[in-house]
Amino acid sequence: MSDAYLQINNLKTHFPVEKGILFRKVTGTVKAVDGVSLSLAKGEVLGLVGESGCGKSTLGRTVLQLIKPTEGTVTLGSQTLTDLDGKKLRSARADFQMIFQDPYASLNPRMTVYSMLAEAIQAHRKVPKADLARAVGSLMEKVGLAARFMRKYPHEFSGGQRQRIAIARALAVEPELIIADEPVSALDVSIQAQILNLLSDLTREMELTMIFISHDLSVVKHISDRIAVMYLGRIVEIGPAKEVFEHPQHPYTKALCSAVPMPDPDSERTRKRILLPGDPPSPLSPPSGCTFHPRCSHAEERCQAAWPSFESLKNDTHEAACVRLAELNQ
Amino acid sequence: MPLLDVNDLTTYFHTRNGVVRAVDGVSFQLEKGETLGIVGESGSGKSVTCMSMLGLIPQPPGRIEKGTANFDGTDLLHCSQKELQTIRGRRIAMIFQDPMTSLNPYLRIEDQLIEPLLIHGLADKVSAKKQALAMLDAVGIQDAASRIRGYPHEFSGGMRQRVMIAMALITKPDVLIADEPTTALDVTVQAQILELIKKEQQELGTAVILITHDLGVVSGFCDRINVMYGGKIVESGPTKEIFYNPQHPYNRALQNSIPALQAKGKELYTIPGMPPDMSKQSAGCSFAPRCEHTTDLCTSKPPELQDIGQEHTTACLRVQGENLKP
Amino acid sequence: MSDIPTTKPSAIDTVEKGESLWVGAWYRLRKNKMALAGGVFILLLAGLSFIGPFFLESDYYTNTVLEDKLTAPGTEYTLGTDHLGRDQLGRIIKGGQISLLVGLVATFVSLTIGIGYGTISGYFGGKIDSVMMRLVDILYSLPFVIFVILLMVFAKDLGDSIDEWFRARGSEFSISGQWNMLLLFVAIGAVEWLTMARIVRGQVMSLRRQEFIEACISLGLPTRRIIFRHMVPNVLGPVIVYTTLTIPAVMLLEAFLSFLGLGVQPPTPSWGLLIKDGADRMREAWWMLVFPGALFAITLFSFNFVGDGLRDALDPKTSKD
Repeated sequence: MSDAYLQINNLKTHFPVEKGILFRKVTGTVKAVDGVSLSLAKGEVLGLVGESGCGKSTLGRTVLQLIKPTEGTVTLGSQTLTDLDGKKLRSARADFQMIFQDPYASLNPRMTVYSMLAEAIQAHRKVPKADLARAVGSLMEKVGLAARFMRKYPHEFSGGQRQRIAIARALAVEPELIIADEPVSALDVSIQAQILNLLSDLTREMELTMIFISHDLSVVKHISDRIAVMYLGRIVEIGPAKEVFEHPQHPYTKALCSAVPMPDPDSERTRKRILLPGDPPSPLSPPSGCTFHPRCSHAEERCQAAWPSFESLKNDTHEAACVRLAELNQ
Repeated sequence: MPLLDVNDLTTYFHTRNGVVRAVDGVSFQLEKGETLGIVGESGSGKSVTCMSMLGLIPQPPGRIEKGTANFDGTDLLHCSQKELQTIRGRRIAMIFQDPMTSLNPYLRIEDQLIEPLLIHGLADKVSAKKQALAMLDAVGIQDAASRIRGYPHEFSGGMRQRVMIAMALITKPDVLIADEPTTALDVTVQAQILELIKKEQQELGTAVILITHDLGVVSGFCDRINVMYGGKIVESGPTKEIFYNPQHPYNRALQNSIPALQAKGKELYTIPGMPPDMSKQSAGCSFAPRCEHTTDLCTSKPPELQDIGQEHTTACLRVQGENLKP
Repeated sequence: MSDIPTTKPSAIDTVEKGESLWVGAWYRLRKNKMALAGGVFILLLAGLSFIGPFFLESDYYTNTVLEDKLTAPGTEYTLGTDHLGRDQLGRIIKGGQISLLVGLVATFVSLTIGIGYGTISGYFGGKIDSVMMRLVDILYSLPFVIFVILLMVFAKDLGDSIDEWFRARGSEFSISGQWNMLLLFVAIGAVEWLTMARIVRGQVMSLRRQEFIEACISLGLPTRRIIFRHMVPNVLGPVIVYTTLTIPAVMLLEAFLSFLGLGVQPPTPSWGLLIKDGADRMREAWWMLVFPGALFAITLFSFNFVGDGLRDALDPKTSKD
């Protein structure tokens, strides 16, 4: 698509498994990301959902070139990120940033907020020393922190506040793309809503393009324009957020939606839950064809043959990868 | 006669930054075979309450200041260590949040499963191994016979939690305390584990205390719910009452702020302010700083739990004074 | 936890001070009585050894009064004299100077090499790390004593040759005395850096995986800055602890070498030499063994208490809330 701002083409990240002491032999491959293609418009928020082992975190890091992809390309605007290296890559990083999951681990415990934010501000721009304090102060206020706490250390803040600091740091370089990797999963429920609102406001205000990674469907539904569901290194369904959440088409998405506990006693007790057998599989030895078929109650012979292509039913923008898509969604 | 009767349980932690009032006068009952949910955020005291009952609080710096916890005639807080050890693990079992660290990585699964039976003298080794195998099968581990000789690292998170449940239920306890048992698990695995606990509970008639911050989980699972905030129970009642007729402002605010129940596009409702600092004692209601309906009385007098009908109690002066209109 | 609200903007001039992790650690250390006692003792010892001699005569440790040899402790000689009539007190003070000096300098040498080596190996990982660590493994497997003996013997010959070379040209210059000391530092440093490198490498590797380092890379910070501004301060904790525990180990090593005659050469005393002389004359002059031995032991204890105290104080688990 020509109007796509972020274009991910057939991205693959494979990790070789090596054995041996001195001369290491490759005995297998972990196919963490196995052919993902996405395109985002400028200012769009895409929610990326999946369970542990599906590769969503690896995908996020690969897009940001924190992990080098094995195959495929990532294009942001006019730059092809996968072609960049060394110094060029480092200076390009001002355009894309990450917000990490653990607010306790993503901040250097021995630096003050001021030091961290000043360092980020100056990473790609020259700001005279005299103006730094003001710049840091306004950045802090943008994320809802009082500027007078800039000389404090991370351990003096709560989890939610640390996450705000992390968001401030990411925004300091004035990026175009933000990848948020489970940014609210480690926070209390009442704080989650605060941070989600903050992210929503900021993306709108600053016209940020964002990929919001989470395992929590209900959180993703709120902040995203579109939702993509990931399973074992591939996207199985993608479409407008409300659509995917209320009318899931792929068997896996249906199971995922049905497994989310709703705080409504009556519906909880009466609803029919789709229980998936077994555990999420390991990306070391993925099943053949449609990787979901061993756990799918609608699997047939042809599901083992090849990975199904994307099909859409009523709405062009909502598609899923399942050979039985039409018959399962009458 | 309730199976478990907790009265005015109070646990404080004496740290260098002050006294942390983790549990501040908590009372509740648990009937035989009942499922009780204890809901609250981090720092509300929900875990410390149950750990105090079982003597799992490090003392110092923790100290059970007062209260009683009567379990079938024995006061858990004031009995001898020996007596506590006959109850703990045998009649009251507990499973914890992180399945990755709850099992001993150096022992085989079989050895860990038979341990509760052997320690409490409930079976000899041969019989215990048979029961262990049956239990492992019952919790849904495929190929139980060959996997039972394996080590924890050979099991996934969901499977380890199943093993924990097997270990907890192998002595057929009267009470199972589950402290955030599914928080660290994927949502599809969570669904499996909750179904498993439900099934086992029905078969064995075990009472369950489920501690969690996830309102969705308790709504489908529990008969009664205690909502905790700042070390106290602020609202208690049957599940339907708690969800369809919330009275305490914190409970209402909590329900309102759940993303799942809110319409997309609008800004999410948030509870203003921050969770309380447990080392500072507040004069009145601990939720007052964040409550939309605070009055002067709220900050001076600490509210008590009072009955407001339908076995539903709440600790809010306004609600007790005049039933709060939604 | 503090009650920091997340509300309205405020004036920047009223910036509040923060409390770094070091402050919390210092507080914990102060509460540790054993560590404090050890620290105080070391300071007193250092003061006595390095400042004390200014108040004594210049030959306080070499003055031989043969008539007074092997005198028991008493009013004239506080700690007795040795077999050559030298004042034990003076000898112990000088010995303390030497032993502490060896301990500090050799540890510093091992620190410098070890930190650099370990950081590079740990940060870059992969093949670089494999090769570097294999080298460490190989060096580790060399028997220390034999290595040092060879080194010292070789160095002694070399030193003697150099002295001869100077004498042949009519110079009085003699390298032997300092040469020996220098080599002692090098030999000990050459062995101790290995463990330091391993410790630093381990720390760096675990830090490397931490998300805040990933965040630094993501920000596009240059590698040099990441290593020095972000990694090193966070590695310092265990390094400080290990350094405090290396010093006594080095002192013990020096004593061992001197005992064998390979370390400090007489007439310069070190506690190792004093203990050796004392052991030889244990029966006639118990004071020659007991005083240096006891002082040495207490010093080692003190360093260990301080090291343990530092480890407890800097434990990252207790500094997180």
